[in-house]
Amino acid sequence: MADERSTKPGSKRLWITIATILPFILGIPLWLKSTQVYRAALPFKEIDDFQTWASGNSLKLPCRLNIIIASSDELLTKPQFASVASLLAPHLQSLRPRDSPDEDESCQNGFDIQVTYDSKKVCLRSKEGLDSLYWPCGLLDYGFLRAAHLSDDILDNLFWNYAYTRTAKTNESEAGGLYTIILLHKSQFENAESFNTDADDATGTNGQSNQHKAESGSRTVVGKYRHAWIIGDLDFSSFETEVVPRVSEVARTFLGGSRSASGRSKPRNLPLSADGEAILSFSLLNAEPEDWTFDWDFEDLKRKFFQPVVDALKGVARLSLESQVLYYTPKAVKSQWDAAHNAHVVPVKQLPFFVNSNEWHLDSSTAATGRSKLLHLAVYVPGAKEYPLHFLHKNGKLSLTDGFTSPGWGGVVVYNPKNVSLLDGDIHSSAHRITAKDFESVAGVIVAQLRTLFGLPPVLQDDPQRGFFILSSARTGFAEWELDLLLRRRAVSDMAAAASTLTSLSSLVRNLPSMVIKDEIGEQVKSSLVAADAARDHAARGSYLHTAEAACEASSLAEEAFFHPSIMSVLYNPTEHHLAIYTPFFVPVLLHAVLAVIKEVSRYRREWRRFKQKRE
Amino acid sequence: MTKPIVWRGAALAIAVRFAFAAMGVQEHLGRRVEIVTPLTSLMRLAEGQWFKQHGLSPYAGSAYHGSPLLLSLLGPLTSRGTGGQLLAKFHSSFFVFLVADLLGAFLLQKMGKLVESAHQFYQAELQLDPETSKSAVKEPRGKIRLGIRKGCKGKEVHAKVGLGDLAALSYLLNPFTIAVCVGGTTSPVENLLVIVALYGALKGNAPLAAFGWAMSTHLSLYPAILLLPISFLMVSGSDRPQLKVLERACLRNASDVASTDRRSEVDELRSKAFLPLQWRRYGHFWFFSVLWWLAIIFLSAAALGGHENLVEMISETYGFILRVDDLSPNLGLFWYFFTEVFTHFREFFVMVFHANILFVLVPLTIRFHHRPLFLAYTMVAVATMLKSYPSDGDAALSLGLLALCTPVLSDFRFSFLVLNGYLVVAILSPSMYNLWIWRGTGNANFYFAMTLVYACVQSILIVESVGAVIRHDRSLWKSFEVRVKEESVVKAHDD
Repeated sequence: MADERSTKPGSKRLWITIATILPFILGIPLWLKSTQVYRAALPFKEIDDFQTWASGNSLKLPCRLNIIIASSDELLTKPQFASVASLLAPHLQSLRPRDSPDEDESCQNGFDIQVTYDSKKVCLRSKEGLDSLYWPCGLLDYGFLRAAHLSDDILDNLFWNYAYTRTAKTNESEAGGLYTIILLHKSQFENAESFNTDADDATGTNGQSNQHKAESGSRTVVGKYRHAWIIGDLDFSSFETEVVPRVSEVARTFLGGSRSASGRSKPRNLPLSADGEAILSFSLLNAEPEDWTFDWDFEDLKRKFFQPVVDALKGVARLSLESQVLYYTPKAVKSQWDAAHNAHVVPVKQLPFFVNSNEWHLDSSTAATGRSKLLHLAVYVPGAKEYPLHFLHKNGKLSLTDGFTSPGWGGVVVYNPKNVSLLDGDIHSSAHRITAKDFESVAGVIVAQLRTLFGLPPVLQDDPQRGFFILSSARTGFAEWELDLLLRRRAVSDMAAAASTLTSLSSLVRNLPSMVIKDEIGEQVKSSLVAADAARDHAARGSYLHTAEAACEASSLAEEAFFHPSIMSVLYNPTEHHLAIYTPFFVPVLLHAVLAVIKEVSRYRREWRRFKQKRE
Repeated sequence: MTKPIVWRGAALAIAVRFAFAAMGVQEHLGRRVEIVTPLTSLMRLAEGQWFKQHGLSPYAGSAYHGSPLLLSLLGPLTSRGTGGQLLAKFHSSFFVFLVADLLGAFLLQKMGKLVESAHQFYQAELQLDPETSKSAVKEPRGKIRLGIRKGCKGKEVHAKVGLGDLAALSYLLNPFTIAVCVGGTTSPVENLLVIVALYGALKGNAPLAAFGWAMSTHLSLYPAILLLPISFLMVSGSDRPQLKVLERACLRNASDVASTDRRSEVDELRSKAFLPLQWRRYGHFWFFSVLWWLAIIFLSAAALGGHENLVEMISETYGFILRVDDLSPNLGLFWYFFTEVFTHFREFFVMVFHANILFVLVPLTIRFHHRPLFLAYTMVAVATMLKSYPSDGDAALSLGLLALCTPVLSDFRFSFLVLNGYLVVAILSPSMYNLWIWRGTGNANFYFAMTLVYACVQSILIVESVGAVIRHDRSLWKSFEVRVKEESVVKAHDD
């Protein structure tokens, strides 16, 4: 009797439990649909292709070298010219930049060389048909050249003028990487001894320019633009020993920059943000405003000194300027009185501790947020107790510039106000204004510091012993061939950065299958690849500015895609977290529902069996 | 026949409301997150009215999220609120809410009467006498226990305090109802419409039930789930014991008759005992529902000035409820969770949280289809606990409905715990909120702990009342089983 029942077992409980569990089962498709990981299709294959290309070779821009042998007399016969041309080519083709052993900074396929013999009667070219290397013969007929008393600077402008007007090469962006070396016969410049020496060189970097004449009688000058000229004995017999080494040295300078003064290795990367921007933050630090305070009219100084630099660097970097004046900003190291120099001195080895990061609130800029790069350029005005302040070199000499740079951070320069005795009278009067004239030397140092920060030697070093001179641009501080160099460096590093960022992104995406990839990221990656392709196209055509722009865009887009906020949040959401997300709700609820179903089903079956037994 | 206790209670309720309103309590209550939700806020309604007056969509600026019909009704009252000094203290729609509360209480009283008579009918049908089924059926005792004994002078007066009065008074004098009415929210209107729907269904008035259901769903969306209990009310009438109990009762009555024509006898008795299933009435309900819905849609479109604005309305009212856009703290469980959840899983968990309400519907309906009013209570209570922007007003409604079910809740346990739980939440949640938001010495967890306590109290209340009703049904069944067995034994002995 106990095992049997007379009525059918009630199914209400069974239905209730099933009705509870059913919505969970019905919810599964919704669950899968709503938590589906959306992944925009990334062009993995293209990224891999790009990476394999980038690992094999770097983005190299072509360099073209136009060598002009200008002579009024019949210097070379036609076969002689041919042999000279064939002599120059192998020497130059395999040139490497001086300081960097790797190939990163070399040009695409070395130099493209054309040698032109430009004499009064003949005009011979080693290669015909290269439009970009066209050189209009007749330089020696150019009127100004015959004028006496030509300084290097004037001569430089003269050559530029000649080439610019004659070749009608108006497209400035195409001019990158086209260098011209003009070989002049010494006999044209009989009065070479009387070369003007007072080159208008504001920064003073080329101060002692033409004091010494070359012993060997020949003289090499690298100009501000993309010209160099060699004045020497153009004798066919001595061509290989005399001229070819000089030409190759000039070419090497164009390629890798002038020899660094201190021999320090260049920084690999330019101090720029991923999209090629940097903010130059100028701070005037009044260490002890109790003694005297200085103010500046920065707009005026900017217009006079820094805007030309910014404009010149436009292709390389988008720089913006801002300024501030700070008070009560003592330096962090103690200076000592040095009776020998009649000055307070800070030894150079203590300079790493000069910047007082507690008191110098240099980062107050609102523009400094985000990914933009900030370069600090601090002008330190010492107080009366440490006036005048100089830096002391190890060899016991005072520093000429009283400034130092820190790679990637910026630079500091000490401004010792002149004629302090005049200031003493009105100590407590309003702020003294630094005039542009006072600031001139400081500005020169700052531009030199900028050059250092961008990986160029602070000043261009002449070598009068060997008759090797380099003109520097007085206004902008950067010669055009140096800008080419920077563009080349930047294009290479940008492309490498873009490739490595995209590769990291693609491996990240492939390793995290639960990561959401928004369409936006896909778009950015695609545009980045397109920009990289464009950069390679432009590079093949030799357009420096466009190449650098496209490469910069590629790297900046890749960077943006990699640091997209949606990726950042998902990075912290590994698969293990899913457990933590689902368990608090589903384990307590679902577990009970499932257990109830199991219990009820088994109960119902048991009861059903009892009922059947009874029936039988 | 007037019942002094009801009138006295109603007068007290009105006096209390006026007293609070005159004290200017509205200023404070109108800012409490427990009372005002983004959906029911009168301030937001005034904002919507302002937009509307300036020819903009009332939903501009994501301030107002209610119905355009409610805006048309209450909007004009809010815009000219500043009268005399004393009158300024009454928010001008106060009287609307007062009337809504009184009307709701009146309908609850009526419902109580109907339920009571139905209850007595089934009581008689089962022929329960207190002597034989002491342990099983406790309704009369339960009623006495829950009735207000002290105010009554004699037994006769006490007998007059019926279920309806109890429900009406517990709704009117509930502090939650008072707070919501005085605080300036649209909850009283929404609650009234739910009561109207249930009253209409109980009464068998198809147009009224359809109106209440369509309007309340239009206003606050959640009453949509009341379609199930309303349908059962319309089709099979008020709460009754389980079918098998009634059958057993018929069997017992028919047991004297010869076993051959037992079956037909049973059917006859059954038809006498139960109301026939009212499918026709139900058809009318559907017809009127469609009619009311069409009316609502056209009126809304007219109020908004064009059919093209209906999409915006749906997105800003129902969409706002379902998407849980406003994560400012409230009594519910949504805000805390959705401020923390990963955005990737947000959609999924929004669905899960809403499904919480939906997936108890079918099991509850299977279990309680014979007690549609109690089913309505459980659904309202579940929605109160799990809706996205709950307030005290929802609790007021569910407690009012609970009062209607007191005859079957005699076995209710933990009433002390639940009552104290409500007290704890009512006292501690404002102070926790104060600690977190104004003092800054606490954090979100302080307040969320209170909402968890609130949810726990409500779930205890729901689970316990469901348990009590199940126990009640089971004891009815058991008592018959025992009795039938006894009788059969007696019969065998006689034979």
